[in-house]
Amino acid sequence: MKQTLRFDQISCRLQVEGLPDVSAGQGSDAIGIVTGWNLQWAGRPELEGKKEHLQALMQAVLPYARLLLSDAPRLQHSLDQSVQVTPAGPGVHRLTLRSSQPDTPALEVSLDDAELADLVRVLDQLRLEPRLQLQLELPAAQPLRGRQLQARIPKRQRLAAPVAALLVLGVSTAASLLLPAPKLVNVEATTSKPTPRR
Amino acid sequence: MGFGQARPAAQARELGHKAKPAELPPGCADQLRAGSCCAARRQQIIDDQHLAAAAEGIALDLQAIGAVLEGVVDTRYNSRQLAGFAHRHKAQPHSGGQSRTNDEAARLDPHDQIGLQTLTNSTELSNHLLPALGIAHQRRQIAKQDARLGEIGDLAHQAAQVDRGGHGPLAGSHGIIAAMASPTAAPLPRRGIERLDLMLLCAEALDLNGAEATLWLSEELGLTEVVSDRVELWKQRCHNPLRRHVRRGSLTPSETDALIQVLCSQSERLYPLLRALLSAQEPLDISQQRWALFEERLRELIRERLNPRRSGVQTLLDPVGGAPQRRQLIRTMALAAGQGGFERLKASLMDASS
Repeated sequence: MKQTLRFDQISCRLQVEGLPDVSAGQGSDAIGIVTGWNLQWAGRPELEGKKEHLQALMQAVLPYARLLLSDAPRLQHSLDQSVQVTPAGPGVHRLTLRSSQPDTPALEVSLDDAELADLVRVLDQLRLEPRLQLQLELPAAQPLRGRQLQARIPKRQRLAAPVAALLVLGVSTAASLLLPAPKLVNVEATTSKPTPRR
Repeated sequence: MGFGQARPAAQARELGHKAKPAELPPGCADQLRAGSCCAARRQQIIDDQHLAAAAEGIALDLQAIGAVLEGVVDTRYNSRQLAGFAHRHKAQPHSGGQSRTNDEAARLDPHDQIGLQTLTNSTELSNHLLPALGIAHQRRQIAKQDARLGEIGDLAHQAAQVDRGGHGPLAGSHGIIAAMASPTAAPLPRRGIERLDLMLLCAEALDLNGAEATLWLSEELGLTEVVSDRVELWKQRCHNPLRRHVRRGSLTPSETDALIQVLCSQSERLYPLLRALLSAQEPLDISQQRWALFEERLRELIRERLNPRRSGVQTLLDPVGGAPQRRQLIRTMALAAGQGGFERLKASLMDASS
């Protein structure tokens, strides 16, 4: 029997249709084979696609949300490059979706923080839905390293320490040059001849 | 099929399938109309309206404004009443169900309890303030439409009621527990503790009963061994180096996980309000009023509990310079809400210190 999972948020609705994989021993209410999905957004084009497209959407959006939590957003894309998310100003995010069909222009959708949060929530709900018995290849959330967080520090602040270090080095070098050089002493001239013993 | 086959909204409307308005969240009913809304005969639709507020978003938004308003009113009133009393007698104000043993913790900052007090006439006070915002009439109308919404400021109770129905904010919390891996051995870095505590503070700024709700949520999540009472919660939060009274050491892994879980559940509960604060679709004046109310309440809490001599606290209190940080805290809470929020939030709190 065909199953439909539906997840609603204020600005979007995700609906996934599929069938249980009977050969894998799945129950009648499970979805092991996704036959289609659609994402409806208020006032925006409706998206639909296959399992691969859904997975690509999750591969781009969920890691991007993870980066946003660390206030270090940067471009994220799916493994097949069909979906990408990038910051497009304060509180605005641009989602670019490339169709798998030829001669179809890419679709760009601008989302504010609230709409992105709604999208993340429906994807999370789907990901953690026990009835969806499907292996999704999604990266695990990992802590960021110091280098990855550098973007959130202003360049001025980031460069302050090395510039100060260079200045100190330069000043100390200059100061050391100002020190008087030690006088050369002629050892032979100054060394007094030993007085003969009487 | 593919992304390129995305149908424009107008075209989707033209398809004219019978989408029941009741199935859609308010505000989206006209726009979100598509063919797949209707189930075929042999098709089983499992509708996961995870957040009850999705259908009651506007109502909860207005309600949450009321809660913030209440918070401002109550805090002013209570701080005058309680500050002297608590300092003189070293006892804490009582709240429902709190034992006397907990009250006698000498080091508990009396200011920490201010948010827990509820005035009996606070609803009346907020009703006086709401017309000034021009939303009282709307609120009354919504209250008529949906009798399930209770009095303003009673969010914890509502959450309890809703949760028993199986569609409440905590419906996702069980998912959080399931998603929670075994506690990691690595301690939370200093900046992570700061952010965690600040987000809990934001939750209290958004909801007058935020502190009580935190305890209630920890009980609901089965975390009473880690967060047993207010004193334990306060002790854990005092690992934040920005606090007035700082505790040395760091949170244990189980404490870290418990606090993150509670925060995720709090964010889930407060999601409609978090969303409203972040949304660019809201009218500008309403959005500004919401931010002003939230920031005022947050400033009061920060002044009461954090060390104002710390530069981080001064930045947070800065009306202009602290705005991006306050927005980031709200955005983090919104993205940490929900079932998958736990892993994301924990990973971000474990970021390397920069």
